[in-house]
Amino acid sequence: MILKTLGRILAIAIIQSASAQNASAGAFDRALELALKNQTTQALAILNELDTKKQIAADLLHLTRARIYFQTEKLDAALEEYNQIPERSAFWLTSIDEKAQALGRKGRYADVIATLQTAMAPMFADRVSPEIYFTAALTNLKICDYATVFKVTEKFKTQMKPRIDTLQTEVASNKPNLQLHGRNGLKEIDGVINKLQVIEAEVIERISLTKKNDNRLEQGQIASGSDVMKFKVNDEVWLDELGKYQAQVKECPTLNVSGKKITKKRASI
Amino acid sequence: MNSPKVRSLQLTKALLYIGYAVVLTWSLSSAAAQQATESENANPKSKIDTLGGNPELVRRAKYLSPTNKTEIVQKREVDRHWRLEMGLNYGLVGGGDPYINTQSVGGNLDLHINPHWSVGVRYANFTNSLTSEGTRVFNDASNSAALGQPYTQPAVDYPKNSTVGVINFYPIYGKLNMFDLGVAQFDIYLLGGAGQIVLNSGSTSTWTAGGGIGLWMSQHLTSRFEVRYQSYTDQIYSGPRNENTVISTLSIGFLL
Repeated sequence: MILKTLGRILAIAIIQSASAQNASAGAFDRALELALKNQTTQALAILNELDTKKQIAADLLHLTRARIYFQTEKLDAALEEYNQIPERSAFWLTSIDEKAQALGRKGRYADVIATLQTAMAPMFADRVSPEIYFTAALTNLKICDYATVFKVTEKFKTQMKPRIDTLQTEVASNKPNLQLHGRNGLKEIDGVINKLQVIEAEVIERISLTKKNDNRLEQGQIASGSDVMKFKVNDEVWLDELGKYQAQVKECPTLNVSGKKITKKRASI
Repeated sequence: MNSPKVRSLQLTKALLYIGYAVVLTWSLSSAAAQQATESENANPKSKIDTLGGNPELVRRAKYLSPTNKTEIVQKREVDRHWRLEMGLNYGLVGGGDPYINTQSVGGNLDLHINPHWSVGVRYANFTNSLTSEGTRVFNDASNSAALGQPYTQPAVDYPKNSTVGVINFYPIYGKLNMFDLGVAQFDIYLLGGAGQIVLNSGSTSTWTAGGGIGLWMSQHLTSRFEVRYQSYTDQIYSGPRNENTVISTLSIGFLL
């Protein structure tokens, strides 16, 4: 009798839990719909409520909130949300890619380069979005580091060629899902190639017109002190180093309206 | 009202316009469909090799580009600000009296001021035994004495224990891959200090200098491998004698 009662209680708890999860999933889908319709305030309200109920995975909530903030140009809030996604999350690599784009929008090019160093590590070559190479190339173009633009495109070629072969094999298969995955993948890579071609054309034009100028403002800082350990970046990547990069870069030479180059240092805050 | 002939002309014109519109619409949609098909059937393999500059372009790009820096910056996993480390060690002593083999068991105490400096104490309790040569000369002397022959008593003096205060400086850091189970950070350090050593003949002062590797395995577990030179003056029946020893120790410690 007692066992039967306990069994009933357990069954009710499971059903209620499943219902609650279905309700949360429905609310999450509703939030996504609202965000796509630019009704971001309501979408965020639903997500915040789901966060308090703890029935949607925290990393998924942070990623979705970050994307909504990114959509509404609240980049600082977006970055805060991206930073909440832990390294063990399945969305961590995606968050790095999108975080780099948010940092680029804010003009924090040194941080973009440091962030993408992780995304472009060899162990992620087969799963990272090809878009990161475009972000890296664009960022290096914005700081007039033309040599690194070519390095990025070379790396893109090396990493993407095997992936293209795999995707073409999927397209040639007789499974509709694989075919769709293959076509979408090839389309994405093709789009990035087009964008990289535009960047390279810009680089070629600038190279032909630019003279060497070492008087450039610096951006970014590499921490030092007895509490930190610094290592050189090389081809060997240790897992504990991922996400621990810092960069210091020189921006493009700036011109005043009279055409003379500005050489004064950036004022410190 | 239009005549039948005019109506026919107007009808023909209308049909022509409709036909033209149909043809235009069909060709536009056909072009769009073709573009969509091309996009859907994208073949980046043929396009990807168009990327990349020729060597002259790359050379010019390198000439123009600034030196940007990217480094790996990691926090020290084990905080060593004002932390006490206690350890047990085992050591081997090289040099010293040529007739004596010496080993040591002891302890070390270090107060880490910051990751670069610590002050500490090294205590060693020595156990001694005769070397094979020492055994031989003692046996020869005993045998000669037993036979009533002249003999030379071997002169030996050996350490019993020592206590030295040391200052450690950690200028070099690194990290180890611990059999793919994790990563442990370490520091290579130099040390120097002075103290007292108790010999069979009595107590005397001693000084030491050397270096080692400190491995910080977790927030509380440490390990050290240390090699230090220790010098003192012992006493044999012919007079004082300078001894120069090298003590190698391996220790396991606990960080409070």
